[in-house]
Amino acid sequence: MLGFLLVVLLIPYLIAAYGLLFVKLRWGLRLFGAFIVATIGLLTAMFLVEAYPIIARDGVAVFLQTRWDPVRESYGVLQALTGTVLTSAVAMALAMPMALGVAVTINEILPARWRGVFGSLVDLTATMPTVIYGLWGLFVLGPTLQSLINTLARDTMTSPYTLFTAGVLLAIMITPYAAAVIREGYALVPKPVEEAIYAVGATRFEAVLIKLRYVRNYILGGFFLALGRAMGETVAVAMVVGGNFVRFTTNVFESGITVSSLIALQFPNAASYQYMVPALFAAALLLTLFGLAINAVAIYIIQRGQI
Amino acid sequence: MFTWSKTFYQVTGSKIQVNYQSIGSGAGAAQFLEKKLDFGASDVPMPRDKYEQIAGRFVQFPVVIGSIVMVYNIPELTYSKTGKYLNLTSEVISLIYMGEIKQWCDERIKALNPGLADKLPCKDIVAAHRSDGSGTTAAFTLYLSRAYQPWNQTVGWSYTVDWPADKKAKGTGAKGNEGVAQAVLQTPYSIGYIEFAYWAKNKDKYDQVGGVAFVRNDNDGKYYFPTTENVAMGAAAGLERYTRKYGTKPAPEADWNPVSIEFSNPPQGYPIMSFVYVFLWKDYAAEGYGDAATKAALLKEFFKWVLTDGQKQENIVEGYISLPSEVAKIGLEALNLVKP
Repeated sequence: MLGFLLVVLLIPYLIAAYGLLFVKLRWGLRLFGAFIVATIGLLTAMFLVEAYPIIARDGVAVFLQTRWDPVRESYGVLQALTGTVLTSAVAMALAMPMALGVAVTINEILPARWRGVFGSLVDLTATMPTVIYGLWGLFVLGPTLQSLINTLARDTMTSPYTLFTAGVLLAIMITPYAAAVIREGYALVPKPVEEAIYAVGATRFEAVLIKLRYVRNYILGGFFLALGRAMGETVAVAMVVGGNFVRFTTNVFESGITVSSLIALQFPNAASYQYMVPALFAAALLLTLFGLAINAVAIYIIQRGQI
Repeated sequence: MFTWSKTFYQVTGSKIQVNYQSIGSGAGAAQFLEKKLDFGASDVPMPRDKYEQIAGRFVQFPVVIGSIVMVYNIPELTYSKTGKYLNLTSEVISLIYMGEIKQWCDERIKALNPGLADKLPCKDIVAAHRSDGSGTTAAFTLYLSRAYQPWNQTVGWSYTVDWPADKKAKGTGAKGNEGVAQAVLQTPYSIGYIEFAYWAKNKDKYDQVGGVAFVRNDNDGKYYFPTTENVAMGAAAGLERYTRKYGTKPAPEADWNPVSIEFSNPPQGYPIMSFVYVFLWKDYAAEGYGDAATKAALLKEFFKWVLTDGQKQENIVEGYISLPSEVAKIGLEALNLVKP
């Protein structure tokens, strides 16, 4: 019923929007923009409505608890949010240097005719299905990281599947996204600027640093695009994160859970419980609000910095 | 189920195609109730509250038996080195997953394995479990709840439970049977519970890193290896116990939750097993299905085949066990209740 209504309302809306796009471009674009905003608003509203039963029962406690006990219908999602923050932090810390390295290597070091090939190859890794990364994490990355970390410090990583494993896997998965944005920006540094840098006697290394500062809004853009990917990634993370949704942990070398993998792992059987579906929607709501907050911060930084 | 529908497609001369998708036990039951599916299949019977909503309008019956095995990874104690498998009891398994037994050299594990006692290493046990909700977890925790009282009081049974080992000891989760199977193979000093089939296919790999445990049946005090015969013995004993307790065989229209409870931890045989249950509506026309007569006839034909020829060894997926004939009979009775 709701779906039918939505389609009935949506079709004339889209026709109007397309029509306006040709007749009066500015208004057509505005209508499309409003559509995107409305979608996000409606999604958030839907999460709120679906999560209402558990919020009515537990209040904000559902966001502050760390329990996941379907037998007693007791749910909390704080551990999942911490897991998302920790895995994303590990991923960003590893991915940004790699992305910068890839961007600089392609533009500075590789001979011009190899740039396109190498760039396409990096882009190609972004199109690989995430489940492939997940399998690789399960069979190769997890055990390798475990033996590596345990050689450095004994018994730090008791299981191959931890928040750290997920973070490293995410770093590898999101690097091409950040690298693509930074690479494009780097290639756009105007020739006169580049010539000026060398004219004042900068070494090649100094020139790279100056150029990177010149394209810092591209770096910031790449950062937030990659962060969004890291926070939302589901399948690959669910396979290697250790699926530990009852323990609150800030130690990245322990098994944990993220919001999106919690939803993916628990949803198939959630309908068998009274409050699990609302609890999962509460988790989705939390992730959406968190994502919006991060984007707001990003926009603020960009606007204040005038970059 | 998938293999059955394929074989059935062949034996009917490519005339009848049964579509089966694995969407999870909970979702299977839920979508059957919403009539999005023509039939449902699940690792657990219809939950009690939902059963009460539709009691009398549907039938449920088991179609195949599965068992759950305990696999472990102890480099010092591999089967390939010692030629022996560990002995475990419901109490010790419970205490490991409750985080009370933390090391392999615990006295309570030694007491069950006098032959291996001096070799059990003082290393922390990593208790691997499912991170997704699953019928395997439901059957496993139901067994622990039945066999060890403290587990029932503190943890209980469900598709997903609040694993105490995750908080108190080194518990870790993995996605799917394949995930737990892989986690145990990769993690030294770990233990995990997986469906028989996932162990049977990789038996040699497990023998290299550890092995599979003999589990004691607390009712007759004997240790059982998860063989087809021992699991079938357990199923038959469970059915007998139910019949004795309730004075009648389980009926297709009855609530099967008490039945699954009687089957779990049976009087003899290998104690950890699970069934695959099928749900069918009794009157497809009254439930509002289109083309109800054809649908009912086809479903009856398919499940009749499943419960007879489908039970032959060559038609059953490796790792599953065919139903004892008296259990298959319940299913055939159920089919008679479905209105053509």
